[in-house]
Amino acid sequence: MRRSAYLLFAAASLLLALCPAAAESRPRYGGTLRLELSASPASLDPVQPSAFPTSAQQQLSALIFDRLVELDQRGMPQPGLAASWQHDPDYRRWLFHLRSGVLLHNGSPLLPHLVVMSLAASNPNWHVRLQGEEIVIESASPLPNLLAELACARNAIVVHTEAGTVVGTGPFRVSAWEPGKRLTLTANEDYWGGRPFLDSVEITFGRSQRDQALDLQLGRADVIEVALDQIRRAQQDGQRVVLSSPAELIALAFSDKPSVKDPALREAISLSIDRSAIQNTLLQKQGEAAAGLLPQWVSGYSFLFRVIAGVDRARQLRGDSGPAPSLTLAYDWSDPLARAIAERVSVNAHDAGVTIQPYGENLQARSANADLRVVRIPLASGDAAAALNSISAVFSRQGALPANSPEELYALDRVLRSDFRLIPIVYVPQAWALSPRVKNWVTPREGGWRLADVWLEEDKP
Amino acid sequence: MQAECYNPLIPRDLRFRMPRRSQCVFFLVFLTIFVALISAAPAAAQEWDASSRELAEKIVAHVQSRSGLSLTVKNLSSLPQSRVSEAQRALESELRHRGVTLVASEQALEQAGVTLAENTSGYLWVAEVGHDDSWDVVMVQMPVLAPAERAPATKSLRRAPLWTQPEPMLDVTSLGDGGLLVLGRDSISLFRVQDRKWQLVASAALAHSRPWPRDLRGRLVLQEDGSFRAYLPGVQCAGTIQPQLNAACRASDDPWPLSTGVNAFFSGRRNYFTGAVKLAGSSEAGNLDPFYSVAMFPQGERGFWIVAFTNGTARLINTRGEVVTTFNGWGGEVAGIASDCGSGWQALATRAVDSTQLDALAAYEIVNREAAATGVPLEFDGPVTAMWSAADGRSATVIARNLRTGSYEAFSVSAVCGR
Repeated sequence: MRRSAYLLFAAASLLLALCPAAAESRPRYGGTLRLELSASPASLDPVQPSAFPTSAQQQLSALIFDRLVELDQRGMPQPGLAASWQHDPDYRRWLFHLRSGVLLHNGSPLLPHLVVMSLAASNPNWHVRLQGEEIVIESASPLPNLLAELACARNAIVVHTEAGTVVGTGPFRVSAWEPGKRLTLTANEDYWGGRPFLDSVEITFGRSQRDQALDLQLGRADVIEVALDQIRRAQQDGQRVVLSSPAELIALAFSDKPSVKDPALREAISLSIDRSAIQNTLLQKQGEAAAGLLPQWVSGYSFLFRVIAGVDRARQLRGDSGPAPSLTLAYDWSDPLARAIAERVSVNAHDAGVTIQPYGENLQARSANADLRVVRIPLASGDAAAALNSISAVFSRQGALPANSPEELYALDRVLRSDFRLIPIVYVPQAWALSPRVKNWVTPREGGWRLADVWLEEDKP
Repeated sequence: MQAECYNPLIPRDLRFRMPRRSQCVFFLVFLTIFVALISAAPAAAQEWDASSRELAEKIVAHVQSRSGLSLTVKNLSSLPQSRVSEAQRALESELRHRGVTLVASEQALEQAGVTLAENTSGYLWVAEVGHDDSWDVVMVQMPVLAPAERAPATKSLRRAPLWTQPEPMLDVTSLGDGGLLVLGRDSISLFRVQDRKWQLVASAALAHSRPWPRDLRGRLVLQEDGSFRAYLPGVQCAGTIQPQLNAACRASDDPWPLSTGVNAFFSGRRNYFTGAVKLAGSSEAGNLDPFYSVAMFPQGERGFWIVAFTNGTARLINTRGEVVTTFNGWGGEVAGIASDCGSGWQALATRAVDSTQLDALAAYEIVNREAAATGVPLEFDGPVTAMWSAADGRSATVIARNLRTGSYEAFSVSAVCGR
């Protein structure tokens, strides 16, 4: 055997290159993943208490920043930056023990007080403090669902530097950033969860879906977005398309302007919307018509909120609320689906006697002129309580309204919609088309990416 | 220890070795199966006991009268109708136990429309209770039920379950005294059957200063003196099992054993062998391209290796160092096992799938420079994450991640000859 082995080595290296590559299954290190998005985020900071992070911000956040806790694919809490935790019997006081040896992307250690500052900034209602080397989170009201809350993007541990930049501990570090245009990430060699398989990720923002499709076809992109009404066609063309579960709520959000202060008018608009038609035609039967704030797969109870289009009742309400003003409806001009929905809402409202004028606006330079907007609200979590509490924190007029049991969540969902300032329309999935060389792509049900586990097949000669 | 409930009382590989002694044994086996079958249905129904009791209590709290309630149950979950029927029977029983008279809807004073839905926490009972325009909604959350076991389909390959646990496993070794040694990411654990259950006897931490690679690999090797060595990227641990389990780890770039007398260097920060291969007793090292795994067939001058390289190729290399052929569609894990079938040696290879897909092991005979598949591939419920030839050379330890449950499952896979 040994003599055979000696002979074996002699020529093997020279001869190996003669045969073409076949296939592989174990993750391969190396390569640059090229990803294109239509969104144009101006900031990488996911912690913006007053505004809901966009899907793009949530997705980017998971690459650059870590959280104390992560949810696995079954929604179970797993250690993130926190190695362990404990709580008192009534869930008002939690103690987190940080993972040791974690480094920020600038090479300095992640110190506990930085975690305290980050969490305190994003959660004014919590009392976050240091106790020795451990993090204490306390609240006047019980926090039984804290672990899922901490796994949300808005609770990412973000360290602000004196230079005004943000630094994280995540699997990728920022190597180049042109706000709204381009982001280059490189693998964090010292990542506590293991270095990502990819060497780098190049993300191009602001690409129209048509340009994205062309780039994928020409081999200039590895991952692109797919419009929901194009999914069937992309699949028929042999493209590799992956979808999340319904993960983003498209809704109408009303302003505080006097023109829309009448709840009856808002209810009339809600009743006029033909959600089923929107789902069947604009979405080509993808996603689900939304009457509640969470999709059925997250809440389990959303089927109780019947999707009813009642034009007659809408007309009656309209008549009761006096002469109708002409309203303006804003949508993100770079979002074709938002535009289509805005136009459909306008048509439906017209049938109920309400005049709505849709117009596109630049999200970055949004004005306060619109009476109502088409908004996209990404699921903050696959956990129902964390997801609904996140919506509540941004859209509730009474501030965050904690809810935990299914019955409390059901009640909160109704309360949040009771004044018709937020009108759900449809829940849509995220859809991506992938080049054949992308491996290990997992689409979490709640959307987003897990790029640290993705690897690229070696280019064939 | 949660994992114990997933494992058989006695490892199946031990049971396979038990000799057939008499008809008495068959009778006992038959009796065991019979008892298991007749007890299965009540056990399944018991899963609904707590939640149906809680839901019944909530429904009763919301009805005006217990004398005429109609109950309908609708399924919006992924459970099959047979299990929903079990749930409905359990709920009806609980309602009757509370004095509720269930009647047809046309005779009912009140109605309970129950929906078995599903959310990210598990299954959700939702009941709409009331009449006319007066309705209340009550809910009960229950965890995900254990999935029904799927019988493995094996023809030419046989697998015997060794161990299952929620945490990742890198390697598993059966000890001669019936114990199991399990190599995890951060510890090595010893399990034994005590009081008719698998129990964690001891666990020793694996110290390491640098973060592990993302696709962590590791190998356990039992020594002749009863001690063991654990090989991990950049770390090697030496330990003993008796009188108590311990492991002393140190940073090390020493090569890992591939086969008797053949060792290969493993990258300290990646998931592959660097390609440098060292033979025992020699100061020289041969160089291959980086590879994931190798199947060795020590047949003297007719010996050959099958190497799964990191560039995605699986190649047959003969004793003269020539690449004889390249195999298509093979995955990154190969292992060689001896058997009493065919040529006496089979190569096991995973499929070329990534870790989001179901994997399978195929057995091949190498005939005239070609790999001839023998029998039906052995299907797994997820990707194979590790495969190592066992010390006796007649089986391979295979670890797969079950995509349905998320657990890691270790098997001993061997070849079965057709008779």
